[in-house]
Amino acid sequence: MTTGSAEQTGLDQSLQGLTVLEFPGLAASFCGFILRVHGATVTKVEPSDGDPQRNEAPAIHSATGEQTSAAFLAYSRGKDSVFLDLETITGRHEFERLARGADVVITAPGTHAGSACLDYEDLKAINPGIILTSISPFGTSGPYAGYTGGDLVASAMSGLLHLTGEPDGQPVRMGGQQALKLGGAEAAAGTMVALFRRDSTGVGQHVDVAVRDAMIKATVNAIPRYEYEGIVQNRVGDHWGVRDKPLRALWRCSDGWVSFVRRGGALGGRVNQQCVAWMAEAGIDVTGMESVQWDLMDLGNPEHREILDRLDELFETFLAQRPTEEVFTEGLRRGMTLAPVRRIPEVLAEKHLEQRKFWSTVGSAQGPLRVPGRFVKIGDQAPLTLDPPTGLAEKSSNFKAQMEAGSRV
Amino acid sequence: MSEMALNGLKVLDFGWVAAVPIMTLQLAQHGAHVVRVESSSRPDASRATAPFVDQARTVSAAFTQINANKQSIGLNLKHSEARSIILELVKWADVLTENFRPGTLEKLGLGYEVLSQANPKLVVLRSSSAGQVGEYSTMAATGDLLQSLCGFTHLTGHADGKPMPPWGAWTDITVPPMGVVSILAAVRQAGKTGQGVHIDMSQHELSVGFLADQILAYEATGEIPARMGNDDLNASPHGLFPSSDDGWVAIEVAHREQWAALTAVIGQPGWADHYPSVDSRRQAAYIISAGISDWTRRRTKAAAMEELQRSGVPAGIVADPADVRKDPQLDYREYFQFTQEASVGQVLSPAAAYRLSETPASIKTAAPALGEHTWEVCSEILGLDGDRIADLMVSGALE
Repeated sequence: MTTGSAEQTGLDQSLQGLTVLEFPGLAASFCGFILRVHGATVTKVEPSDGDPQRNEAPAIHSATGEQTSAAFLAYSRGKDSVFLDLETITGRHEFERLARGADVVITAPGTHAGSACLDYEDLKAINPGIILTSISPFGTSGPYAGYTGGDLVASAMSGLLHLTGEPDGQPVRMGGQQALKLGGAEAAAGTMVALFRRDSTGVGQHVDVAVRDAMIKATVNAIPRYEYEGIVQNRVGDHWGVRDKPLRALWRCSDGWVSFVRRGGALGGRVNQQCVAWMAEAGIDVTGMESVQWDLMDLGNPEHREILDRLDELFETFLAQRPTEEVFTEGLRRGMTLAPVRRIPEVLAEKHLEQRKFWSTVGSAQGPLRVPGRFVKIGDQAPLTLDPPTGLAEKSSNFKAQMEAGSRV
Repeated sequence: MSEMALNGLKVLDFGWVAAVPIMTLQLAQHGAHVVRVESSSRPDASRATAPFVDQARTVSAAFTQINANKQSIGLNLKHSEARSIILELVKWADVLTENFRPGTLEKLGLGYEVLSQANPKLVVLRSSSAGQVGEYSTMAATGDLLQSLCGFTHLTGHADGKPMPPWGAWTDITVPPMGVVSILAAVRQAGKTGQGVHIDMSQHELSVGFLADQILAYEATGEIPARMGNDDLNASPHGLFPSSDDGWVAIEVAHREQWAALTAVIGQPGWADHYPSVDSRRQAAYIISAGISDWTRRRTKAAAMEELQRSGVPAGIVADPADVRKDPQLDYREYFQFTQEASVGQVLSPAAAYRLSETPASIKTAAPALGEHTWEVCSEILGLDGDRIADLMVSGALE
């Protein structure tokens, strides 16, 4: 058994003593991981030949040399596994035994093979205090209750896909399986709400999470815009905002991109002033721009918009000749609201994150690999360290340990 | 009145604009008593953000859809009496949430030590772009910038195109559920130990956690994770196909059974065994994609989805905002709810992404006008008498 060993540090203790069973699927494992980071003990219930997620790409070799996937290593850190065939009587009995001692069961039916579709009433009969958190594409009631779908389908049905990408091109989904992760995060929130209730009443419940409903939140003001103005918002490409003339949001530097959205009024006034001053100091001809009262500029006023668009044109040429890092550093110094479009190695190199002792490591065949640590910093919490997940090779000894642990209950 | 899960939880909310108000909405929807502190000199900017509910643009839907079930007290934070009023509210609260620029509470004489002295069991969630300390801590960054800093913009877009900013601000969406988890975990901890908890929530860090697998993959292989449009490393076919009504159908096939089902539906049963693996299907993507498109082009997006789902193929329409608003599943589950707002009538108040079977959420009151509950909060929570409240209003401390 690895859980609770001295290797696990930086864990929040608030969910210590909470026992969680987790079925396969990225959404379920992200949910279980969040609870784990807050101190819960999480046991993965995998099919007898292992969670199919172990075989996904990109592959990484674990410290024991076994092949696993980046997603499995990332979000099953700090968890144990049991391997059960729920089609067999022995498997079902073993699951029921585990469920009797568990506080929470997380499953992701319809989003991933191997994630069980459990009936809350059945579980309640075994353990009245249990919280069943099910993460499905559309929820467990209604005409789409049995429908299946993962990241792409949930994104498509939420409206977010329609809103992302070039206006005249194909809609495009967010990178990094964000729908399933958000579904997992919302599931963790729902589980905590149910747990708050259970702590005072002892009563469990079914937390029915729909990944699509989670993703609708990301469409922000597009649905109210339809509701109240009758306008069906289209994609705005690398621009931003639900206005008739969206604002530019992506700018090319000499070696990459930065994000920056021009704003009007008092909010944008100081930034626009700085923008002009920065270019003037660099010797750019900003004739006519220095006398503009930037805090009075209203984006909705066509004449003002013309002035702001001219500032955009000057700034575009200015940025294109400068490297991203220089633009970001000088922008920060000037209190400008701009940020670079980071690639993963640049995210890892961020000095700020190092200063905050954010990174954690997880063991692999190549030695320790860096991976994001805690989600939030609680008090003066140490950096988070979690053991790698249970390997398939450890399967038999692990199962024996579980049985022994169970016999003590 | 039916019980809700978070009945009894008291939250004092200094949150502003999107991420923190969406977080406290989840608490309020489930029965927590949430009091928003706002000032007329600095009202929540989303109150003035389009789209508006009414023609006169007095009530913003951007605000109302994320502030139902909350109360609003108008308080001028710069007034000499403000600090003592806040400290009285702090004694009442279990949780304080804020997303000021780091250092602001300290400037108001309301740093964490002062707050925890007033209420030793208080949970304080401080949410900011990049955390309370570190070189970016005072950075002025909104969610549209943070999503680029975290890596989301680079990873979104077509493989041969430029980076594509995800619609809106992704970090405003990752923050709320994670905030709910850390608040409720901390409240549990404080209940056990009698000691409050300080939560330093960096929206940047928290959201980088949503890319842990991409980061690990880079660490292990040295290959920089790239955007791949609607393609996927572990599923094929996986993408969008054109429909007869000028829309798109999303189809994702991860498993062999799904592939067999798809080939049967589109009338290409021979493909099931001919392209048995994801790799073989990726190699033949051009042919397979043409075959699927030939089938989807002869159907509306809704009909194609229906037929595919009935056969066990993961599929969905690329829904535009109108499709989402009229969606039969959302309608069945009453996702779009309405509440009565005092001046403009019914306002849209969407449900949470999770439903609780025994203590369901309930939206009872529409988002408040600024200071709508100043009198109520002062008399019922602070126990002030009418004369005192009137004095504080005249002096400009209360609004």
